[in-house]
Amino acid sequence: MRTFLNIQIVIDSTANVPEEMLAAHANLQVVPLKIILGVDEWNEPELTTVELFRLTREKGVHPQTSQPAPGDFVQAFAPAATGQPVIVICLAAGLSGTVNGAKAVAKDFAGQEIYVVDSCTSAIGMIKMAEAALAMAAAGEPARVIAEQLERMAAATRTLFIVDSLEYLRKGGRIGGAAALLGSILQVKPILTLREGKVQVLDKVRIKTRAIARMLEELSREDSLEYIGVVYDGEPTVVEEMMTTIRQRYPAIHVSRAALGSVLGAHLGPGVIGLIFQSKV
Amino acid sequence: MQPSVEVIDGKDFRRMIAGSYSAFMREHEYINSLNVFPVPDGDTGTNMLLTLGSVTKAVTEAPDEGIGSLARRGADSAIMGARGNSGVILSQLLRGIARGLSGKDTATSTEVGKAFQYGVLYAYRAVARPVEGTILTVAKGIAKGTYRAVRDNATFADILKAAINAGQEELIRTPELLPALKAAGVVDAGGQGLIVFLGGCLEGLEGRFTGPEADFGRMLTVPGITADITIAHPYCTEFIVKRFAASLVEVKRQLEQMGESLVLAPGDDILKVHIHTAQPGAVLESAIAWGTLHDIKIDNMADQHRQTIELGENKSVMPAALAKDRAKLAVISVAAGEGLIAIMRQLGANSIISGGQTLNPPVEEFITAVHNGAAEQYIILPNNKNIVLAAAQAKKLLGDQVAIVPTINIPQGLAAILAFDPDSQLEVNLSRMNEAQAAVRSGSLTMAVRDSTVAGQIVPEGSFIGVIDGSVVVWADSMASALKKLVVHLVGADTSMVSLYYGAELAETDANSLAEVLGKELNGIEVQIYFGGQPHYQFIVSAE
Repeated sequence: MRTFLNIQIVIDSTANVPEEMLAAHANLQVVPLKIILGVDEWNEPELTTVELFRLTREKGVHPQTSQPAPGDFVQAFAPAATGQPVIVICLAAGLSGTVNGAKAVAKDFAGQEIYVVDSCTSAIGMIKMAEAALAMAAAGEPARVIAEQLERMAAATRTLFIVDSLEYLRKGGRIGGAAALLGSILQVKPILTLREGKVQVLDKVRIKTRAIARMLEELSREDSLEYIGVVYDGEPTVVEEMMTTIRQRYPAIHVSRAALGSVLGAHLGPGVIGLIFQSKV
Repeated sequence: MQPSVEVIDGKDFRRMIAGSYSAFMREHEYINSLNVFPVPDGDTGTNMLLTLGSVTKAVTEAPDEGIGSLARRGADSAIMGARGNSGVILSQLLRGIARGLSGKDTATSTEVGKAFQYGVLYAYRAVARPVEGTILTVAKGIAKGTYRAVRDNATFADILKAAINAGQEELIRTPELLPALKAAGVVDAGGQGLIVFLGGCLEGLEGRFTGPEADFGRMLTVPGITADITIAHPYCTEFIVKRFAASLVEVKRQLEQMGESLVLAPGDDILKVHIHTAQPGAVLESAIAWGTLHDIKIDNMADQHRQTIELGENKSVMPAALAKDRAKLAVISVAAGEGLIAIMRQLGANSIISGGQTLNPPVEEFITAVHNGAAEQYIILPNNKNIVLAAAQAKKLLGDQVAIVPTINIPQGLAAILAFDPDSQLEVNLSRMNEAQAAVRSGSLTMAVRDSTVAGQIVPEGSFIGVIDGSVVVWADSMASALKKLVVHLVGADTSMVSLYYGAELAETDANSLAEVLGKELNGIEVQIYFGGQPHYQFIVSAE
């Protein structure tokens, strides 16, 4: 019997893994984060961003999110008890306690092979890591080697994004210092980035089109790209134009796009346009 | 010729200063009209008048004392009250005079003449890049005339006359030396100001006052702030140490630990101390050991601020929520117009000094803004060519506490504030802000205040003119077409955004419809319109 099929890949719901990818891999499973609006709670995949923002408006409550329940991880880690290694891919530790939650649960599985990886990003960045892990597992690589490769990918990944307003980040306490005080006068768009897992301001640029251009300028500074991903909420026209520009500039590089999940939506608010890319490792 | 035995004392000096002030009251509008460009430019006459207003007030209110200390008072107040480049140059002139008269109770005409020569030298040195055909050419002429008359042992009135005559000769030549003056058909405004200053001194000396009554209340407003702020070192403490017999280095070391804004002005066995402190008692206690203490003056600066607020004369604007904790770094920006001020505040400028093209703030306002104690270090954005020198003067007085990004227009200032990151180091910020401001192309639209000739063509009074870097580049009869021409001039191949900031005189709907038309004509470029509220300029425009 070939052992590599036994490696289980667990990924949290902020990756927004497409249905087809889930269906194609029996050893890939999603652990959901939660959205809480007042007294109502949803598993992330049950709520789209459109519904989230509608409900937020209607109820007038700021959405909260929660890392997966420890029980969800216990269930996901169950195969480890039967000797199958588990690799867990979580969103950036600065955005959520999910990594730490997973690590805490993993401690209860002492002596068994569970690797918890901080992706230092989310969304497409995590999907790309899952793809790599699945491919390596299929190629018979041992779990430890895969986990190490994922760590390298995490370190080589950059996450840039703009938001319609800083209100959600501010209310959620995910942006601090001087950046939290930035206004939206003159349509200033802060170019946000995840640095050491935290949301930080890379630059401030006026108007959305110039902010997108500024993100693409940052992309152009990378010389050996593995992939380019665009994550967005709403505004398909702007995203379409952005995709066209990227494809023209980088014909040889795989470019994908994906809609934003509702947990990131709750953190960042409507109108997110994100650019996630990784240099080769 | 008989050596002059004329003696000039403090009272004579006071009359001279009062005479020069009253001469400026009479002449400042004429000097303002000596504009190179047909735009409402930095008003040389008003700037010099306001600067002299500070001097006259200080000298008039001073106790009867020797000419040396009176001149010193005048120079100190000029340095604090200097407005615009011409005001700063005038303040340096007065500093030189004070230097020449230093320690003297009375002076002979020769000594006063020499002091004026010092003054001219100081004024000359105040300008970074001396250009002939400006105030400096006139200053040199004055120096020559003064030198000859002093050599001939003339009376001081005759020395002044000789200085004025020699200065006049050079003033008339300024259009020959500077083509811009010739084209505009004017002489140099600053040079004319110097002649008026000397003429006023002469009138004062001879007891001939011809200007309207001085009105300090109107001319001099104390810079203030709107927020009730906590000042870390509220007591402005000043005193003079006579029979000063301590080491200056040691005194400086001790005082530096007791407060901020320390100014030590040493003379012959005398020391003037100025410090902002939380413990005036402790300061005086220490000072007793250095000599005898005189003219002790302690003011609570919070009272000054409050008074200013109550009087409604506040010209500086502070953000409503002033951080209690001292920030490491903050921005002081200059703007005129409520829209622009609001924009700068929201972009993160810590304090805004009211001022602009026609209203150049005095050095004092920068110092007050720094003394509000909101940050350890400040970056000043002058946002106007005529304010750069006042900012530099403030830096001279405040040292490392202050750095300047020499922005010369509003869009540059906005780009610089946008690049500011209070969490980064000063040097990092300076380089980012300099880079950001350099990348902006900007111009402004105003109405010609008189007929003029641009590139051989006549631009009639009342036309709309587009100004870039101080030069008229486009003009038209209608605002819409002048604006379009100006924007087309500014837009380059890499332009993605044009920003329009409309002035106080324009209605919102008119401004918006102009912007809308422009937006349709500029394919692929986003046109943004904001209320600037600035005086005189219908539009400030930038292309990025």
